[in-house]
Amino acid sequence: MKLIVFELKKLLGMRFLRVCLLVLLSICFALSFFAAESSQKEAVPHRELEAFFDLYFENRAEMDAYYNELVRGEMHDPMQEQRPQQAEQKYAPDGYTDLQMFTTLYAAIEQAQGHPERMDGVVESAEKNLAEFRAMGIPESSYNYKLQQTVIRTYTELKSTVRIGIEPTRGWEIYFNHSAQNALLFALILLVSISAASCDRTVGMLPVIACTKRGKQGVSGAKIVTLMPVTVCLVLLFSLTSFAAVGLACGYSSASNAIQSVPGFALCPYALSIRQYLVLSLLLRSAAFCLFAAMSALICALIRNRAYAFGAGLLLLGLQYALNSISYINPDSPWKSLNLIALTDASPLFARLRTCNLLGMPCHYVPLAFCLCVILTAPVLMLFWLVFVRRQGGSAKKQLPCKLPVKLRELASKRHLPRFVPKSLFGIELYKMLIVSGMVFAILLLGAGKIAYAQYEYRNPGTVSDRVYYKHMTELEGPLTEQKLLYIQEKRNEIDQTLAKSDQMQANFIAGKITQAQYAAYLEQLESAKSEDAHWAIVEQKRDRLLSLSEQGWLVYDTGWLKLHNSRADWLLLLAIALFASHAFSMEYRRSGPSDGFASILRATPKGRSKTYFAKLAAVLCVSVGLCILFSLIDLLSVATQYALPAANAPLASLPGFESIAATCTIGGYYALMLTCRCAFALLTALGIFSLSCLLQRSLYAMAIGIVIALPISLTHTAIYAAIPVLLLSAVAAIAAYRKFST
Amino acid sequence: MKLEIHNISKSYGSTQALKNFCAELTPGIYALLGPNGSGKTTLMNILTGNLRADAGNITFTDEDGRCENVAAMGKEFRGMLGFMPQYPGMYPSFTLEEFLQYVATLKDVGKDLPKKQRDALIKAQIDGVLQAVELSDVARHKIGSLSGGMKQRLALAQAVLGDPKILILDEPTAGLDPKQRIAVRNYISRIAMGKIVIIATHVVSDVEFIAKEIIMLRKGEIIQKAPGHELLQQLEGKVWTLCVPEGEIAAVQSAFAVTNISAAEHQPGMAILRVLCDNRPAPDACEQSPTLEDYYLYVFGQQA
Repeated sequence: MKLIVFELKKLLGMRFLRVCLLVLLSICFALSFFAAESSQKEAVPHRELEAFFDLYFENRAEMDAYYNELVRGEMHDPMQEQRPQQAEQKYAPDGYTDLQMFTTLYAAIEQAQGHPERMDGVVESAEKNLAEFRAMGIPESSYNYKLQQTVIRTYTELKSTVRIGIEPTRGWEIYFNHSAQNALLFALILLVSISAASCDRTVGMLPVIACTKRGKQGVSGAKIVTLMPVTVCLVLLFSLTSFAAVGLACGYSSASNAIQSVPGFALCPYALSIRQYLVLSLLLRSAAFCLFAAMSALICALIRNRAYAFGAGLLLLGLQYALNSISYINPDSPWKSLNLIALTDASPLFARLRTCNLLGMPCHYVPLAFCLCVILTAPVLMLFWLVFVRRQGGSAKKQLPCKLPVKLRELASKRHLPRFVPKSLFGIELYKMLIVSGMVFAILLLGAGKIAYAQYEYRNPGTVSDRVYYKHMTELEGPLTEQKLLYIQEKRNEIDQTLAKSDQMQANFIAGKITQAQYAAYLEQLESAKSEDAHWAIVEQKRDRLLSLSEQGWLVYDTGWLKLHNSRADWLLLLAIALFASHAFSMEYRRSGPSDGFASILRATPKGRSKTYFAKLAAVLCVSVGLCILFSLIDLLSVATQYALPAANAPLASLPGFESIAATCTIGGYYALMLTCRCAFALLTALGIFSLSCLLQRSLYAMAIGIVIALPISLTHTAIYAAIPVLLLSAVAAIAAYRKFST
Repeated sequence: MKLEIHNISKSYGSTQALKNFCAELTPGIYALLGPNGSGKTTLMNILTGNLRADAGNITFTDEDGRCENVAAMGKEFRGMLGFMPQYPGMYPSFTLEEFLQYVATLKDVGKDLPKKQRDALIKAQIDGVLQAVELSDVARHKIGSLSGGMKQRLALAQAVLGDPKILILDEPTAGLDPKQRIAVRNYISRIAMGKIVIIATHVVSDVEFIAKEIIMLRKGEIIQKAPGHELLQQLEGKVWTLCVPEGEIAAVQSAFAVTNISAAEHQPGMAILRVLCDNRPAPDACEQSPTLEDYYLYVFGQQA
């Protein structure tokens, strides 16, 4: 018991862990809060909405009649740009419309009252599958047959057992999206596990522990017993923080309502209330994170070098993300459903009935996931215990087995690569910061992470509408000419004519005026026209938008460009710059005293103060700009390969939302401008963190504080506004750092 | 009680760190002397189980005459050890008391006693060792706030906590001022009664007067193993002092092994050199009583 207490003390005593926890909790709170707030921006305030709901159920007929009137009034010819006159709103508060209120109301009613229909739909689909299987001669003992039977049984039961209350669902949909929270938790748990597994070796206590009675056996056991509850506590803490943030931003609807009332869970195969789902998902997530913590601790015990262990942990996470992102032929593939990302998210396992083939029987993923986490965590922890206890001391370098011939061992232990150390101060500082400190590996890892993330972030779902949109825009690409206007109108006329002929053709067919073949041919045209109708409406919207602009714009396939120009904050770039810049000075200082570390020797040489300061600064700034360009190129290439980036020379006004920016700027030019701004922000961030590294002398503090200060300029929509204060702060810090180091 | 080391060898790649090291250690203080890389720390790590030897074994014979291989003894042997490594590591956020409590827990101090008595015993031991190393005043301070010398003394305190039968101390006086060094030396000497104490050090004066036997290592091999006075006998009549002009110091250094140079009092421009030489190096040379430092330099061929 005492050993456990001491292990906890070791963890809590690590200041950088406490700082990381605070920083990440703050980020979690901020992300959840802003996500909730932005989702509620256009939503009607909930108090008014709830009052409206109550009013509706008191005067249903009257309200329905009013709604029908509203709808008739809102209908207009889509070819005209004139909007109907804004009627006086009877129930909606200022800034909102009655139609919005009714839309929300009917959506809630549909969600609740449509539940039996939805269940029937699923059951019907399963029954059709069964009929198909029977026709194909698939035996009843087969897995697929049993799966359909399970679906029918489950959803038939749900139809009668689940009752969804009619209320505007609020907060839960946002809260149950754990992706941002999980990313932060993964990072923190990785840090905590590695720290727990390596703290004794790092401080130098391991040789002493190893030769005590309780020794490594007792200590490693205590570490295991400490790490699991700490992990669970962290999961709880982050969940509560996110819960509080969403609650503050938009509040929650009743937790007693069925989980099927939450969008995204309409087909949840379990009769659970929101509250029950909350508890279950928390348990599942905790189990999954405990497994991850155990794996991280084992990795650290095996690899021993903390930086490499951290990198290996990131690789493990990258692998999990990859498993989660790949499109599988079988959507219920175990790799898709049982990777760590899916398990920690929990929602995918509850969204609909998911099973896997376990000895020929359909096995629900939820209980399987629980069992798997427990079953896998135990042996991983055992392995950690064994490695921790058995591993001998000495150098972290691999000791080759003695059975190898001496010459081979000598050959293997020699360094064959020639060592090249630059002669200029700038070169030496760059070499020290990148190579000697091992930072190049961290940056490479982050680069790999960036590639993986960009592939995920910019993946093209390949929707039909986008493909058709691409086809049309490619045909019409370029300035809006008279010819193109005419073509668009002709195409519209063609579609309208085909649609308009529908009743007539049917009547002609019935009357025998046209043959079946002719009618079938027309029906084909009709289907094509119906599908083209919606797609061509998008082309017409683009045309209408361009016509309304004062600046010249082009018709251009803009999906890729919009993705690129509206891309989110590049956290990985921020992390890479923070990691690199924070080491600039901390590597010169040791913690023990003011004259410890290389800094005292450095500052006693002629070039060791001011010149070294500027050499370090130049190295940091160059690498930061290089990283910014590299990461931006990764984004560019990802978008270019997933979508297309045509007509870079088109005027910027061709893109919706960019009309207000000067007409002389092209789309490609705007990207170059954006890249320049990004580089400027990268320089600003690097300068700030570099200065903090000198002032604080500890890389982790510099990194943590730097990230928090740089956050505003990383968030694209606040970047311009936050740049000036951050510039001032960075400049002040840089001057203070210069004075401290150089004088 | 006896600790026997039988033909211990250890190599790192092509470097032989220890070669057929043999020793029989009974209660008393043993000094391991040798230059950097001679194998002292390797031996200490093998004794404490932190490294596995490539060959050889270590046996322990208790007071009842029962002899057993220490590898087989495992926990039981480790329960008798107190180890102070060369670069002691401690947790900066722990206070001294907390740290020693932790070590006491690791060493299972007072295992067979009821909880209250065990806690009282541990507290008494902690207070005792802190007082012995003169750290009582800072018992509640965090380790991170201690000076280098204080941390060194704390490392010694954790090694002696629990009254271990075998004390292994690697450079126990490194970083201490002369007064502290003497205090630590005296303390070790006091507690060494009935214990096997192995001290690895460069500071010859720390062990000169307290060690029962000096073991000198060079490149992993024992080159001398004898009580101090026996070693010094070998240097009888070989240690001299010379008074020479300062300009001739270099010439004397190139001709003889010089162990010390000091300025001559009341004779400006003259220096007194302490040299090692089988015969009188100069007519006016004065014979001196050899010290262990002379012997060390005589063996390892270094000049002061």
